[in-house]
Amino acid sequence: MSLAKVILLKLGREAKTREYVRKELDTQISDLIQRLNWLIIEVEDWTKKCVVVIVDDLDKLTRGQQAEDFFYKNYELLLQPNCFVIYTFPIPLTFTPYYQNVKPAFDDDVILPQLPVRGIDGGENDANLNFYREVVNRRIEPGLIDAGVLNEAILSTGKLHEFVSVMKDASIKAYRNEREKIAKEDVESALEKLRRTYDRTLTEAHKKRLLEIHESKEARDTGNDDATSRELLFSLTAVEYEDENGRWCDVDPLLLPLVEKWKRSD
Amino acid sequence: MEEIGLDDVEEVDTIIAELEISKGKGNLILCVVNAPVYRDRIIRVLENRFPSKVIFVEQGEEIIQTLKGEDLSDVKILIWSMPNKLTEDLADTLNNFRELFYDVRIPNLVFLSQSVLDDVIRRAPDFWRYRGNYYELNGAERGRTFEALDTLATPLHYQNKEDLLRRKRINEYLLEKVRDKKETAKILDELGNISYNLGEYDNASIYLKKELKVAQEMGDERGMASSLHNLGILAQDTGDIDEARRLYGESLKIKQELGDKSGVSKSLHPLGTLAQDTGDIDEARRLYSESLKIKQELGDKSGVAITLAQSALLEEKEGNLEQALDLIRRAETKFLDLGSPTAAQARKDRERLEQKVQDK
Repeated sequence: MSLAKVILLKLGREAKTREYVRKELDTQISDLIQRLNWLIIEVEDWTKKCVVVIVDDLDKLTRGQQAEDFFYKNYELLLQPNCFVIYTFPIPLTFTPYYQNVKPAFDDDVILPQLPVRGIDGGENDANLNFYREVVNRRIEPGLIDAGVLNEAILSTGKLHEFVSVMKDASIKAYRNEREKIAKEDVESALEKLRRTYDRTLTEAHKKRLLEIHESKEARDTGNDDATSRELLFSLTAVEYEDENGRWCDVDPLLLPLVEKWKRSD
Repeated sequence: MEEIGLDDVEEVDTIIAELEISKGKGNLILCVVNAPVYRDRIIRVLENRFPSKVIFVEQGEEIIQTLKGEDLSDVKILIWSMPNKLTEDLADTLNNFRELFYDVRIPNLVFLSQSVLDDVIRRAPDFWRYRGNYYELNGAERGRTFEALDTLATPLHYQNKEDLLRRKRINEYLLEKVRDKKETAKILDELGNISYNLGEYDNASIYLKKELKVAQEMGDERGMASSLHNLGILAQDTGDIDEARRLYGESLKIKQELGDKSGVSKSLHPLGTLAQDTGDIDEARRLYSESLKIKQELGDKSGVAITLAQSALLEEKEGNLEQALDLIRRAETKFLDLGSPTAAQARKDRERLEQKVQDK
């Protein structure tokens, strides 16, 4: 069993497993690290190359506490393998005070924010818009989408998974209605469904904070007890962007049409 | 009909379209339904349409075991019904093992309530983002939407004319809303059947011809054979013998090409009755005999009984009373074995023949 596997058994699927893994971790972790390091030496000797380990999917540590335990309380364990290791890391954790304490222990931290489709001033980012267009153009013939529809889908989502999901939903609707092309109403109906769902899921506190984020372009929790911004970033209803002019946060573009409604009820 | 109903039937039709496209591939479709009875009705609609496995989930381990360990080679879609509460165990499983839903390479349809979906978005966001699509149905445990889905889910059964008229109304509504060709063919078939039973032969003919056209568009040869056969029955009942013979003949040809023995035996029988009606007794005997032979080979007891009874009537008319009596006795025994209500008619025929033989 690899170190990553043991760590990624991640505190288990059920109480019994969790307890078992914890015990196993306690008793075997040193042994595992040692064996891993021997393995690294052996691989490097044989290949005459440096080993790079990429530990992906740590974004699956979705519960804040679980992620903090992993990266902030046990981070020394993550540094023990004698090779280059890249750990994927949930962006919302960068917004906790622990981040600055732990960061120096690692060689580097690289943040990959969402590709903004608009700049902080609201102007469209053509290069990024083209990236999203290309994602669809490689999968759907451009002639199968009504003019302007793709742009609306991109600007209204601004996140890859949401954009793909909306286009998929719209294409199923067009297919079901025996249309020759994906029409504006197919995309609008998919966007509206998603918007309605998020609107229902957000609490009043979330909406209030989203309004603040929209105004200030920053997402900060007020203290250790406040996890509202982090929750919004986890759920990607608030999004962090970066372009040549800097880094900022904003409301998920899908929810922008709701901002005015929230303001009125605030 | 209420607006909610219109939306729901169209949504179910869209789910069917998406599942049809996703067959043989992985897909993860979430479907929000609050009322369990309504959910079960939709599941029945889908089970009628696709070879399915339905799992009522209680623990995360069930999801992992099903997706990792079970032989799903005969399953076209996996239907998951989530419990009313998203436990920590389930949220973890959905998040951490979300890839498994695509690894099985068959579409997964996950039913969950509104509150569980809200919880999934918050507590299992990676699973939520991993979805292929999601649907929200608003239906309740009663009302017209429920009845419409019930009609899609269950074969036609009725006790009186009111039942038929009610079912006809729902099917006419479904016909307007449903776009899926297979479901449309089923609806047209049922409307044809209902119109026939109501004595509305012109309407029945219109529906059955439309059904035939849909089957032809889909390249569904079994469907075409079935529509042609039903149109043949209609032509025979309205006295158009030549047209009936042509339609039964076309249906028979398709069934023979498909190697559909049971279908062949069922076409030979009415072709026999047409021959009998037009006085071609030798041809009628040949056709009944051929039909009977296949039905016996297939162990089709009901079919055997029907053809024996029909042969008995033919022999009675030809004056072969002992032979007719023997045939009707065999038919009656089989009807009784099957517990068929036709046994009563066979008994009457047998008693009449016994009297005739006695009087001879």
